[in-house]
Amino acid sequence: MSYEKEKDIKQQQDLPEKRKEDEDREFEGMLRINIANIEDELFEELQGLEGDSVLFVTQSDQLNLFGQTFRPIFCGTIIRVTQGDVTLFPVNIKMINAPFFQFPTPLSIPLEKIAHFTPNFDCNERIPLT
Amino acid sequence: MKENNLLTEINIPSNNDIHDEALINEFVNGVGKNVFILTPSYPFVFIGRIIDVVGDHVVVDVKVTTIGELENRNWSIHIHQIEVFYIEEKGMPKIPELKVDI
Repeated sequence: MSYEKEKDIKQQQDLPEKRKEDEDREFEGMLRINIANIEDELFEELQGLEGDSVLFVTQSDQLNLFGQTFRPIFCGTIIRVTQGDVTLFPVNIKMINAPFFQFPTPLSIPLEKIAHFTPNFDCNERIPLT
Repeated sequence: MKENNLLTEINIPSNNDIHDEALINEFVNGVGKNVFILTPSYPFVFIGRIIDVVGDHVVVDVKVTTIGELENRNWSIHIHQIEVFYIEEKGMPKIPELKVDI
């Protein structure tokens, strides 16, 4: 939340009269707030991909594993999906000087950290990483 | 058709909130287990045992990280800052001693 917004809210709390005015504000478009029947479509889609080989790219520019920096590009088979994360095993980290480095354990990626993914990806494929 | 375009639908909780909360649950279920964590921020790697979850932070008794001086202490790590992790499960590979350069 931006500082200004935060300030706005504080002012509203301090001045209950101003808040009343806010309630009269009309939305230009229609607004529907859904608090039941929440569907988690991404979760369902990933669940459908269990057992598939998928290429994931996550948010950050680079990660660091004991001195080795690498782009967060992971390719592997989905073994488990929860509403918070997706677990890959076996999983391949695409490092520049070791593009087929197989990580010794499964790896879990938080769903909110996934930048993009593509299903049915052959992890043995060579892709330029620069 | 045009009217339909004006409709904004808001879900509460939002998909983002559901994913964030479910991720915290994963760490709550992992209390007492060994964990491997990669974050984009310094010192990048944490390996140790999960002691507790405080709000959206996980407290880890860190045995191994990139910097020797930062090892063997409790680190509070913001769960939503974690990029990749692995909580050790029975029947799954153990977290190796990643001391040596790969």
